[in-house]
Amino acid sequence: MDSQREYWIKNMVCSRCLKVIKQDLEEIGVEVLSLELGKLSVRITTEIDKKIDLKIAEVLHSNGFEIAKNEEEMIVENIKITLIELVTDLPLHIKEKTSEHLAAELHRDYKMLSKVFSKKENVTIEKYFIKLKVERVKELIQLQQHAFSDIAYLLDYSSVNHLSSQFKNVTGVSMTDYKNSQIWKRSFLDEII
Amino acid sequence: MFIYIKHMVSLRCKMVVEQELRKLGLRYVNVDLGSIEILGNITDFQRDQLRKNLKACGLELLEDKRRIMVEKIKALIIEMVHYSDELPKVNNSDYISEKLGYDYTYLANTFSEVKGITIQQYIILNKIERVKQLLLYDELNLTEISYKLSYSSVSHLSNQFKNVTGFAPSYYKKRKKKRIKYLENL
Repeated sequence: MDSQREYWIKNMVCSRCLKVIKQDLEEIGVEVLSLELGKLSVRITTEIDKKIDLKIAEVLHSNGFEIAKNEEEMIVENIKITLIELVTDLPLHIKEKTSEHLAAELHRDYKMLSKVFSKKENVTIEKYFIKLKVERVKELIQLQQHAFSDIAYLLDYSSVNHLSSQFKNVTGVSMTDYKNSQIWKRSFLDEII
Repeated sequence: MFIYIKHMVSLRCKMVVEQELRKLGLRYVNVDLGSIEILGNITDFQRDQLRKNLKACGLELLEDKRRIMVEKIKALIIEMVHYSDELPKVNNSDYISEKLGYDYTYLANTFSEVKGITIQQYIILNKIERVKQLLLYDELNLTEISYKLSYSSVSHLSNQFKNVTGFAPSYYKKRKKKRIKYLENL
């Protein structure tokens, strides 16, 4: 009997992640039914049932992913993906607060979300989001297509001052120094904590 | 040289980019998020191909700002020399910087660094091409041509012509005529 199995995957951040997973799974003969950020479902036939978990885990590990083992990890992953999607599409202008946006997207109470997130990652959602935005700012500075004031606008900062002080707080260097040094120490989005 | 890529965020992006580079036979020193250092230069064909392949993966190859700038300068000069009836009354440098809205020193430095010749030299080359064309049309004599292209005198024009092409304008004209005659007699 054919059936399908779902996996929750940690550390997925962009469409290249989807591509790589799909490619590698098809190479070892696993049929992918659906794949989106954080969520994979594959077709299972009974005889390979036992081995497939291992095989898939191996593929995922070799690409730097992990399988989420419990519900809390799933929630954390969902929060991250929601926030990453927010900063991917610029300009970033959400009408409600980040907390309300998360609660609405995940259909959970924000208190519970924030508690789980802090417990698992040892950093608050707020702080994570700031790091995420700063990482995005780093990319925009590197590409040199926008002025700092444009970048502040794109990421919904109230002013350039706010952005630059936050940038300096997180990275330790000012935006100008970062730009002039030409040393782009960017981190992978899934490794910023 | 360095190339820049938009939307790179993770280890997987790096892997995909490395894969695409290998496919095109490009050897890279270093693939970092957003910036890539490759060995030697990249041809225009490879650049186009890479852009297309990366686009399929949702990544974007960044056009170098300086290359775009140089293309704009070139287009402006060609327009100015070949397709307008008379050259602008103001200095070339003023004309170019006014049209493009940048300081001329910045434009000139960018142009020389990217193209390896100065804007002035590029304008001269274009003007000489235009002179050749006008000589062939045979509607204007050399004095008129020199006036049209705002040379201060005929001798200035013919000196410059000789410098660039190696021939005096009169010799060039004669040779072309001979060639045309020769072709007619065939």
